[in-house]
Amino acid sequence: MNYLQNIKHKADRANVSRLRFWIQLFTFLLIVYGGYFFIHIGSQVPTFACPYNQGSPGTCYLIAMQHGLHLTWSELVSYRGLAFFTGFLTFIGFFIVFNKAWCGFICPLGTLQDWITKLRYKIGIRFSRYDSASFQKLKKIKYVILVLLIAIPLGMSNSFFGLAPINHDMQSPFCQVCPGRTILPLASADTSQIFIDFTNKTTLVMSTLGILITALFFVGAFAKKRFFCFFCPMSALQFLFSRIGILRLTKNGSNCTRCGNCNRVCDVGIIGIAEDITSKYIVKDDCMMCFKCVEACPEDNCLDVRVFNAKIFSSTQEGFFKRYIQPNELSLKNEKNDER
Amino acid sequence: MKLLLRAVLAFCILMMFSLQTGAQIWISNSAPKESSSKVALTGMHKLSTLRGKRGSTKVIQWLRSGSSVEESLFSQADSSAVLLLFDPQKQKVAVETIADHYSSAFVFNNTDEGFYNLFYLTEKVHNDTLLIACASREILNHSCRNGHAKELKYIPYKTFADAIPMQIVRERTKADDLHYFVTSGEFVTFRALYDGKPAEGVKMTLVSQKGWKKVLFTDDEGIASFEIIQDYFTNWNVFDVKKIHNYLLIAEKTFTETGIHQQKAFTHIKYVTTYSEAYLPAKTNYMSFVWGLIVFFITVIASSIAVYVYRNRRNVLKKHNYELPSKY
Repeated sequence: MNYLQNIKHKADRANVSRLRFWIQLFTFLLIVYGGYFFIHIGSQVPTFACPYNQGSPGTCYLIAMQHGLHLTWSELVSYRGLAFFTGFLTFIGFFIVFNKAWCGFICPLGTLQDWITKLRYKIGIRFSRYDSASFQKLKKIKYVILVLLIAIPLGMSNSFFGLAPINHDMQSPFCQVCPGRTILPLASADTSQIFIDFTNKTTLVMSTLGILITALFFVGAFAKKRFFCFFCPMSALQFLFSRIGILRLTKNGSNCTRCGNCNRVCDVGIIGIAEDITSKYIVKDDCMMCFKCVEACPEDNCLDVRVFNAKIFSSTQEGFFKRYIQPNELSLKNEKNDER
Repeated sequence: MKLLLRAVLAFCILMMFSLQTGAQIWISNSAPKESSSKVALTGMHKLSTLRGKRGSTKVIQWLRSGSSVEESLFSQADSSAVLLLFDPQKQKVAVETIADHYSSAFVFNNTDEGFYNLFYLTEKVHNDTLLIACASREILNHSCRNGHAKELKYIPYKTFADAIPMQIVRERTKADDLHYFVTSGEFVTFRALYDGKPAEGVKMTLVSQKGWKKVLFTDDEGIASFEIIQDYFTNWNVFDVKKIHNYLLIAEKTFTETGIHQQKAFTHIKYVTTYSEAYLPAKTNYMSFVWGLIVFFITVIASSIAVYVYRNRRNVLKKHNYELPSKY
């Protein structure tokens, strides 16, 4: 028992952000170049494993979902619907293991944004945050995108309200505007996705939108941490099932002093994590489970990372001081300087 | 009398045509006009499939004779011919022949994902030459709606040295996956294999949809590369990016060898193998990389300026006051 307590004690003092950096580097190489090493992780990956990238070892579930929903109602309740349901269960199976840590530790687009943030920090340019009113409004966009990427494929095969089916040029609508499609192939020196498609008006609009969003991805990530994650439909989809995740982030509100450290270090800028003292399960829809909040919390056992119900990493005063007050560490002081 | 003369003339032309190009039998995905109502083009590779009560289920391919993609006649299968179909796992599978008074079609189920290989082989002696003609076609079966259970990467060609004396294979490119289509403007490399080994000096004739021809001879590795020229020109507003055209490749090689076939002596053996495949218009016809870059950089510059101006005009770092809990 003492042995386990010792390990837990060490984990609570650990610098998870540093560990996360190395995991992100490894998973970026895996997700972007794994295919070149004959790695195949399936077609229901809950992160941006983009098949437009030649080196991708798998396929993002969003593209599988869009293809899978391109069905008539009768097909949806036939074996094709069963195939879609099986794919969906596979996605859930992948997802529940890491929960939303897929975003914080594995997503290659998230990793790219984190690297752009580091670059901005090195250059000495300040970052931006949304105020709470804007935050509440903008966070709904990802749900709108999620609804559209479900409705449009269904609308291509079916008629809604007596209207004609949607043009087939809208196939995989999210992929047409996803920055992952344009950016990840660049990592394999493939520029073939940077194009404007003049085939017809639909493709012209969608391909232009895709390039616009790609450009905004870079500028946005430079100005605001994890800019794109705020609008990501994968994040919205994952949140719908985050309650069943094995990996959990919990909060003991009675230990919270609302110092706001957790909110200040949060890359997405979730205010609820600081203000909510009633919910035990604290994963919000924008959370990417990077666990920076646990690192930055100075209160013992206020925030906990759990596997099922077992705590594997908890906020402690000792850990907080070790991580942030010791020299040569990424400190809150630096974070504040960053806001200048 | 006039009618009789016309019929004789038509017969003579047909005979001359068939004598000249009789060996150039090939397998086509395009349906004759009379059958078009019974056939649907399905899947991303637009395979001809028979319409049924439960949708299109069986693939159908036609036997044609001639060296023109558009003008070749639909032919009837020879009763002595050998018809072979191999599934993506190289297993021999059943294929049915449907014949009417002027054409024959081959029908089969394509349940597995990947390349099916269809071969139609005939052997006959003509003027001291044993003519071994093989019409071949690689038929790719894939539908994204069934998911991507298999690797979406490079799918190598398969060889059938035991069954096919001279086989033509298309060399794969890096992009050759289940979604791949040859496009005009692209260089396509073919390899001639005789008994499974590269065959040098094979005469390769490539014929495009509109009749453009080019002749090359294979090198010591059995390779010949052709550029598929663009032969689809139309106005932008009616341009069809999925306009399917077909090319036909005819490979010929004659060996000096004596023997007897079906009680007829021969002094030469001539192998004629055909291979046909679809191609699409080049992406450069409708996609612009330059415009993509222009839009990208304009957006980057404009949004950077917008962010800079916005941050200078507004205090974007409003401090948030956290509500203190009651105990404080």
